Amino acid sequence: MSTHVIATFDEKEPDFAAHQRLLVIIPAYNEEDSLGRVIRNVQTALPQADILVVNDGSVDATPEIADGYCVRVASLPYNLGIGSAMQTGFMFARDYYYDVAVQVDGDGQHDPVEISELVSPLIQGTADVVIGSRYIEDRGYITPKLRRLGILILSGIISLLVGQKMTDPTSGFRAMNRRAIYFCSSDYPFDYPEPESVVTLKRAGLCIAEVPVTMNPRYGGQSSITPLHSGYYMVKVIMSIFIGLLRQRPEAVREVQIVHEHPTS
Amino acid sequence: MIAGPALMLLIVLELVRRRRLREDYSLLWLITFGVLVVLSLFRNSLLEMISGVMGIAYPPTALFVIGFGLMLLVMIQFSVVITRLTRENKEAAQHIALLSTRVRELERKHESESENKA
Repeated sequence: MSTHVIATFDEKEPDFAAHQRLLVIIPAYNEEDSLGRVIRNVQTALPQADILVVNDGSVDATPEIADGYCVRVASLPYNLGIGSAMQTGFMFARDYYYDVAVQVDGDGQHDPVEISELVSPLIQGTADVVIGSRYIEDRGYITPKLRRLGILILSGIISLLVGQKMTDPTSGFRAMNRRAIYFCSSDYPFDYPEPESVVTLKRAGLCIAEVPVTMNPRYGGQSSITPLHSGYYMVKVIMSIFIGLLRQRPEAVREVQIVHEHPTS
Repeated sequence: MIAGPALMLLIVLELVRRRRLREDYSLLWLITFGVLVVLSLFRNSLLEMISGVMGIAYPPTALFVIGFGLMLLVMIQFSVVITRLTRENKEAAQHIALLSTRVRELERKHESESENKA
């Protein structure tokens, strides 16, 4: 049992962009090499944000590392995949009435300094979902050629389907408002969720925007997408997208009530 | 030719009777073996006719084709059930994770409150 006490929400200074409560969700599966650094970077960049580490059934020291920081940890009893782990984070954000949820991967590829750029369209009300894109501006991120091709194919298909230019639908660096949090907590793909969720979110009537970001090489661990899995990735994602189109259009997300009280306080 | 499916039919019925197999999952098996038993019983009339319609020269082949088709149905049912179980399993795991987070939060709050009192 760790000894530090997490400040409850009502004790916090609600000074962030006119009382917006922000949750940073860090999905982590065997990220012991990088997780500590990611948490410290988020805490430095956004001291006012709450952090939830979703430990996706890690078999290494990931949960112990997370416990050493002033963060909340949701530990899944076994590995469910990134999509279901993120959905757990969205459910948490929904249940605790967060206004904004940001996904920051546990491998260190996303720079927490840029979270504020992701969040500002949400605060201004110009978007419900903001995706950090590596490819709007060339900021020196080097993508292997074959992966770049795959992403270009997906971008093309998805841009056509949603009727809006999407440069980086595979990016997991995202911010969502309450409408999007609500939608994703009830409907989110279980694995490789990013490209498919762009289509489902758009079909649910949510407004998506992209902002340019810089992505770092990962600090440690391994990409979940190995060459062997890339083929499966493409087939699964494209199939899921097209079969998803055959489903009934999701109900438009109703305006959700914004409550600033902590339910347990 | 009739003994095989008849025996299987009895095995499935016995499994359901002992509650080792749920009624809903036994239904397709019972239909599969029931159809095979009936076709074997009337192999000179019904099976001949069906294989004629299917354009199969050797009637027992029609039996295999029909049995195979019914087994595919059973397997699709398995996939559907597995999908449902996976979803339920996922939801249970997510609730466990969220509940344990909440329990720890309440424990911490409780601890700090009792420390303040002391």
